[in-house]
Amino acid sequence: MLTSGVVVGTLYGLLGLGITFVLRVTKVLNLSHGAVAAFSGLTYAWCLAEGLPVVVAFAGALALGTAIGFAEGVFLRPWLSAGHGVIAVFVTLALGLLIEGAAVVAFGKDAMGARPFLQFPDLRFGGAVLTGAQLLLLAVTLLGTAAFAFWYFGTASGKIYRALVDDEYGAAVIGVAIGRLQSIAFAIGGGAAAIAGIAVTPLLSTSYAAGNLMLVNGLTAAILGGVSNPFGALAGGLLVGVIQAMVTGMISTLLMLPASLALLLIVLIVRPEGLLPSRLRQRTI
Amino acid sequence: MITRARVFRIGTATAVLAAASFVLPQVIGNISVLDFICVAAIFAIAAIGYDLLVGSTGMFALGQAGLMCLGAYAAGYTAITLKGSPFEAACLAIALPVAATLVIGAPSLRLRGVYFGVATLVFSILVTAIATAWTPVTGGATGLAGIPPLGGGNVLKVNYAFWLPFSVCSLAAFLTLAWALNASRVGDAWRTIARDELLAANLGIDVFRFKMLAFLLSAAFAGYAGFLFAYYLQFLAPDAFGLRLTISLLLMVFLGGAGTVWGPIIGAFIVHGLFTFLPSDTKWFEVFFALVVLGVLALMPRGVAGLVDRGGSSFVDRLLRRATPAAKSGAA
Repeated sequence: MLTSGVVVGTLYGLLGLGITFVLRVTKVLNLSHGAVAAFSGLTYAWCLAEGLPVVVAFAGALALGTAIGFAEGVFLRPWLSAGHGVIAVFVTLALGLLIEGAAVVAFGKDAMGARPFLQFPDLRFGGAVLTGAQLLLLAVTLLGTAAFAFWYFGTASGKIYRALVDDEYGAAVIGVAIGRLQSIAFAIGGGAAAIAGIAVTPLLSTSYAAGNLMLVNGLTAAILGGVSNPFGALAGGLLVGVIQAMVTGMISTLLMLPASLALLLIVLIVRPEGLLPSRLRQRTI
Repeated sequence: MITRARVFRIGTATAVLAAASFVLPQVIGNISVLDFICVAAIFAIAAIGYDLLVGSTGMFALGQAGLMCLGAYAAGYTAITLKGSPFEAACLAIALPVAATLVIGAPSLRLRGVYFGVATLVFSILVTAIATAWTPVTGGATGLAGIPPLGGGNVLKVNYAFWLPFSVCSLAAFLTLAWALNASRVGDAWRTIARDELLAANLGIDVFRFKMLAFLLSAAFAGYAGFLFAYYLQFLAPDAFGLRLTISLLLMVFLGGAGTVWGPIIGAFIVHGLFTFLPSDTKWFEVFFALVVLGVLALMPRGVAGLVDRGGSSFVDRLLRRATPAAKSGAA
């Protein structure tokens, strides 16, 4: 039970990572993140169902998620430059509904699964078992996270974003094109969401409604992990996954979501900067 | 300011509304129209309460759907399990959201900006999640059925001679209350807080008290709307209070005009009209609805009421004023 919690936790971590990254760069909480993930996952499943090779399906869904993110970034420009991110959050809420609606139009209301593209053998250790599908999810999610980390810490463009996150004013002084980078940040967030959506599709069939659940869990991961460090969301995600697994195993499946939400609410009120040690003391974002 | 002329205006408006509500069921035979008016009036009450929070006081709360859910289930539980009277159900329907706001709302007020919105949104989602999970009390995902009818009639044949006046007169009463608050010094304090919190504090306004007041009132309005909802439909399901309701209430406030009194009512009737008279089952509806919301947010931030009367609302003023770069310096 615990192992499946860890596996799901990495997924939540990736979702949270996307949300946190966009939040730190643009100061906007992208509430459509889950919908983008679900839409990309559905695209991937649909491509596979149409007989397209896995690589094409993966690349297509990833490109689509990134494109949707970019479109959002462009659409949100007037609200971003106003410097008042809160109404932008309302807008992202509506954008999420729009994307969810588009998913209904494109794919219908039924759930779509996808056969795993690589068959991993089940892994057994110490009484626990990780199924092949879970391992695949883990692999895709960890690869996506690693790719993001490599870009963020290892490349020049990643460095510019780190500068932007650390000190927006200073970055502007040295000539960073903040507006454009913020739009691109949404695209990157969309890409991260897409990978998460693709990863989950073989394990659990996705439908248009899955976006909300992914948003809620990603948000929980992001806030529990704290927004001072985009990678804090990974720890937050593991925590959420493990707690949900424990509640499901020891109490009831029904209480899984209320339990993590209640924890999120308590953390928000008591320690909004997250559970990890943070140098931010509830900074205004 | 509460002037005699304004009191006269609002008094006649509500009297006409109340009188019309008694006459209408005799005149209109079309059940779907009568149903539309009743449900729109119920949502309007929730929207007016929400507007006190978002429009007048400028607080970006997203929890109104959850508060309405609490009220509705409190009423339903009172009616079915506790076998209470409708009056007792109404009291509990108002008391539970207000209590929740006291306990959770008070500490959440110290959160700034996005975090406050997220906290209220999480609260709303948590309420529906509990309603879905707590099957013995709330009936779970399949819902709570069997709420006794009010004013004669039953689930199949609603007695509109009772329900139309009841819902519309309730709306008129809450409308008057909201108007009185907005027009008084309380409303002035709210608008000052919306414009500039620091300025308000320096002027001697107890910011926390007034914010809490707006919050508690919005909860009370939502609770009563939930009570009406429960007794009118005689059935409750957690799905009805999800993200769609949150976005609908937002749209009602913004489309009608935030910060005005009539705005949310107009918004409620328009939005519920969209759901009722357009085919909301087709797969294109969600896209259409989202586009409407985006259009309103982008093009008409003052809403319909803003187009008609040039008063505008301070919350929107603050939003538009912030759009100038000058206001942004030093915010980093």
